[in-house]
Amino acid sequence: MKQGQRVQSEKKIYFWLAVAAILHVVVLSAPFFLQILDARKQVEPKIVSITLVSLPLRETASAIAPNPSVMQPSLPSTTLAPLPPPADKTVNAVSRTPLPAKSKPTKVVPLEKMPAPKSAEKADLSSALERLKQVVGNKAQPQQPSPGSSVKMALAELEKRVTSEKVPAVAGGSGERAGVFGGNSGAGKEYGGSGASLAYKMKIASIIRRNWELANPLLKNSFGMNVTVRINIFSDGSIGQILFVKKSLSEYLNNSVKKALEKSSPLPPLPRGEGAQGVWVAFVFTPEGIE
Amino acid sequence: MFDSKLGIIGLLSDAGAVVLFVLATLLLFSIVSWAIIAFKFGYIRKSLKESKAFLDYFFEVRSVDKAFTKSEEYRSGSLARIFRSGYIEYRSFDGKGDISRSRIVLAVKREANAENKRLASLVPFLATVGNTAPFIGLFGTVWGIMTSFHSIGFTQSASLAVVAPGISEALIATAAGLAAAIPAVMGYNYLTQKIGVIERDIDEFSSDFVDAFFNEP
Repeated sequence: MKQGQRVQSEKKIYFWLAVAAILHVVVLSAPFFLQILDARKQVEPKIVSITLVSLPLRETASAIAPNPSVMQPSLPSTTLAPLPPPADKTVNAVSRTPLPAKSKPTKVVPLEKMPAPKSAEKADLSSALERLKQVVGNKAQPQQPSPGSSVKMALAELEKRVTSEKVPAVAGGSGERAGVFGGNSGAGKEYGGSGASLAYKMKIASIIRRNWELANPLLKNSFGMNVTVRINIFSDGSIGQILFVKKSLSEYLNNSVKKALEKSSPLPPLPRGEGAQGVWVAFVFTPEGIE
Repeated sequence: MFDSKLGIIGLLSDAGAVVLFVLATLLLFSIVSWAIIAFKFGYIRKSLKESKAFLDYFFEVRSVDKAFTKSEEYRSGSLARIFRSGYIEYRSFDGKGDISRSRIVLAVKREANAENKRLASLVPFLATVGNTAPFIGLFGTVWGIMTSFHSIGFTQSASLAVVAPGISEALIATAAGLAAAIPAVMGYNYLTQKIGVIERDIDEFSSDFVDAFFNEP
């Protein structure tokens, strides 16, 4: 009888061993299956690219107009809207993008972006451009009774400003600020927006941009992170001083800017006659680039 | 389909032979521990239940013959078993000579010892697992970290990306050790407590059983 009991007891312990083994297999394989399940659930989010287009206000519209060459940073094709009046052949060629015909003409069409028409269609194009200018004028100053005259006024104002004030910054029509702006003079002289200076600034900006390593992808997506830095460039191109006018919240971004500037030194020598004591140049570093 | 390096499987696939051996040992320990816990839990629970039912009946009828008949229903009850062994010894003298009290006491004591052994069997393994599994896991971790640092020395880079995976792999062994030890310790404490209760019952009622054979109404 005792032998029978022992056999029964052994059977029970083997049964529980089997159960425990199965349970362990289940528990250990659960993470594996959860991992597969999790991987299946992870759907890559759609990347939606949004380009913000600012409507030309009075100043920006006037600032754009006199320098058509700067207008080259073009608007995305989606911003081209059909003109309100029935467009002729040339205008159709410009707004070739497949947009719904009935969409509201809320966006601005860059005037200077349009390709040069053939001689036979020049007259039509000029009339279309005139109509477009009127539309732009209406958008910019809806309260003004005569939009055509307001555009002319804005253009005149801009010309005046360009000739008198030496505006250092150059603004693109698409809302991007493509240029490098000069800072106020500290120990050195003020670095204005003359042609040579601008070219020099573009040059050093491209050098700094090349040396700027922003590896953190989180920062690239973050909004409002910018660092404003003023650097003192000696005549031989060496960077004398780096002043952080505005630091970003990310210390990583601040350090990356500092490293980029240190790495870029020495910069190309200053053009002749520019700042014997050195010049101060300011840059705004954002995760999107250098302004 | 998915990045297996991120999960526990990926960590295990990168682990060394010693760490894998440690993990396999701990897995085996865990399986056996759970099996013992489940088996003993059922066994002791049934024993306690049947012992209680038998005691109730025994004190109710006060007749050894009836109690013996009833004890056949409680084959897993420790007290019923002990009573049965005493009764068998008691009946062996029936009509063949003088009844020796000491022999019955001896028979009851022998069965009580056997019952204690039966109850306590396999339970020390839980104590062993509870005590040693964390150390075995720790050994796996130490070995894993050792090899990890060795390979870091070869790569000559101490960045977090290089150091972290090795340590993470190694720490799995400690986690496995704790996972095996914690249920084993809990099971051990529970079972020893219940076994202690049964042992005290056996000590207490053994003398009552012996008295019952001689004071039968």
